[in-house]
Amino acid sequence: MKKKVLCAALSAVLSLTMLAGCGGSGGSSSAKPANDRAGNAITVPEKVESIVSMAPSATEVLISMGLGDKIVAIDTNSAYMSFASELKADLPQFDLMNPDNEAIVALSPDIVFTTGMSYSGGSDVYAAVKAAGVCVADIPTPESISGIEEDIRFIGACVGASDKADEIVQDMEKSIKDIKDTAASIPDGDKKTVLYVMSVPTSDYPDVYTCGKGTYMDEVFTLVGLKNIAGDIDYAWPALSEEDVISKNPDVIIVGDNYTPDAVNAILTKSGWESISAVQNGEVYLIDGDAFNQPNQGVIDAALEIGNFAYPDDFDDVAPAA
Amino acid sequence: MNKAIYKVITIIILSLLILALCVGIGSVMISPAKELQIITHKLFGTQLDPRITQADVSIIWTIRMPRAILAFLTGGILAVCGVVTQSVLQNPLASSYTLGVSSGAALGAAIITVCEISVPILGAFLLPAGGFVGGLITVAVVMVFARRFDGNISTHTIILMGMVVSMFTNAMLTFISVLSSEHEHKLIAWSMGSFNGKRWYHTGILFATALIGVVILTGFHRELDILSFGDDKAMSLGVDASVVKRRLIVISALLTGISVCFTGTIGFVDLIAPHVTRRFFGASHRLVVPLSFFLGGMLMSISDLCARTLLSPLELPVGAVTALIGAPFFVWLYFRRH
Repeated sequence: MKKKVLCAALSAVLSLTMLAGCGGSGGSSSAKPANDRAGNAITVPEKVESIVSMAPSATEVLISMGLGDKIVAIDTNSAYMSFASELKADLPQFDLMNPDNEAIVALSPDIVFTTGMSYSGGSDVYAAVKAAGVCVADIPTPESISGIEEDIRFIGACVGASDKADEIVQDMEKSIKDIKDTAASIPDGDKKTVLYVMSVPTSDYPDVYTCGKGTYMDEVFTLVGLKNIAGDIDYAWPALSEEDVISKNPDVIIVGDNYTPDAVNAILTKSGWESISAVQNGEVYLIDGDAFNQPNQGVIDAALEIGNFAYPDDFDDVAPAA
Repeated sequence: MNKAIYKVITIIILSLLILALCVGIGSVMISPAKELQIITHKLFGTQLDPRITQADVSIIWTIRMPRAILAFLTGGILAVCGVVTQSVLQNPLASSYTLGVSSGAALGAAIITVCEISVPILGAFLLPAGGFVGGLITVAVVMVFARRFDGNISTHTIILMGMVVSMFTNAMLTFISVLSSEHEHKLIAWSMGSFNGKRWYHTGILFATALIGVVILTGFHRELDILSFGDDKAMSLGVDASVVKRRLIVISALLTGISVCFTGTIGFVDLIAPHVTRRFFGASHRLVVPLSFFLGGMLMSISDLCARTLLSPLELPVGAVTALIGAPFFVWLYFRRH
């Protein structure tokens, strides 16, 4: 009998301490994530004072958290973005497909944020940085808007700016709700089909690179009440043939190519594309490709921009939250 | 003679059937009847069946027809140049590619892509023009070296020089693509060859090229017959082998250069089509030169059809398909003969 009571008491105490333990690690704002977004175990230093950002989307998130001055090096793509002006001048830059591991280690940063793109070649291009004991936190390209929000929270937790991260995510959620409500007010019969063009096709490179199923871009189109003509293709980034595009006949074409001069006109005057509804009705729009192509809070601004292009009457009173 | 005419007519009808097939099949299937209606509508302004959509017309007339015909013309030109080069060099494995046309063209195109050169007047023709110039320079280098080494330009000298120069240009190409990894993808795509995205103006240029080229080269049929006996025999029959050789090589290099520069390098057709033609139509170049054009055209058309339909919506590089179909076919043909 005594034994039984002792057992019960012990197990009660044990479970209580365990609960307390869990609560402690989850609730405290100083807790650092034990895994990066790719699932690799990482050890983030208590205090993060110097950051190497090897992903344009992460660079922008860090700047919007007010941590631009902690960034000590960036990838060459970040340097091209509009937000690069808010960084310290003359930061060292590294190619995100082939980063100079020695130089990164020499900077001895507290954390390195990387994008899944760097690993697309199949090998770990940061192996030497990791081996040197630097914390490398990988953020693969998110497949959904909620994935983007989790990435932002992850970055916040790593650098000790969880409150800022929550603010950004709450702003996103508020805008998403507005956009959803607006899209819901559009009758199903009036909903348009859309084609996203990543780079304007030419006669030498005629394939139309776009976004398929399982991409946050596809989700953005659905969010604003558009139907992505490549949304049923199982590849994330399929290449459509011109025939496919013409036969699927999108009502709206969104161009995310800011590098081809006069991109909209190039599509409007493309031979063979005359029969496409979007071309006939002049519904070909250039968006800020940097905003849409970088998976962070800028995607919501892009969503609003797209909504305003496709359904100007419905979206004209939806304002960005921030 | 009559037998030959029947053969020629059969080949031409077969070619037209294959072209019609290539235009009809794709991600959107279009029946031969519709196809015919769209073509007559475009050519003679006849009324369209209301069931035919504007999208069908665009797909058939603007996208597929120029592509299918371009593939046919390219295959034809490569085959004719293959016949001529094989006869001139008396080597069954030779083709204009042996002379470095393709590697030179690839290098020219690569330099333009990597340096992001832009010439406003050339516009969309910049890459083809770069490829063309690159190909010609390479062949010129091969010929100049070959002549320096021996005045008679013996076939072994040309083949050897062609190999050396090709390897050198290929090495430079590798060097360039390693240096500019961001363009690597584009360079690889170009070196594999494709007819994707081509329009009527491309097809028009190649049509004129093919017509002139085939007529000129067929005009050389007597010299080609004599050359295939060997340089000494040719001399004794009153043909100045080195002069004729040089002319023929330059003409086929020009033709190959023009076709390669629109489509990228596509191998195997230039090698196979001549052998197949000789197998069916004998050795006389009066028939072999023009007929190899049609056989090469058919082979290329079918390869391109496979390239864009086999793994749809993915597209295979047509060069991979020509080798995939061509190699076993070649082996079969070879063993059947023995």
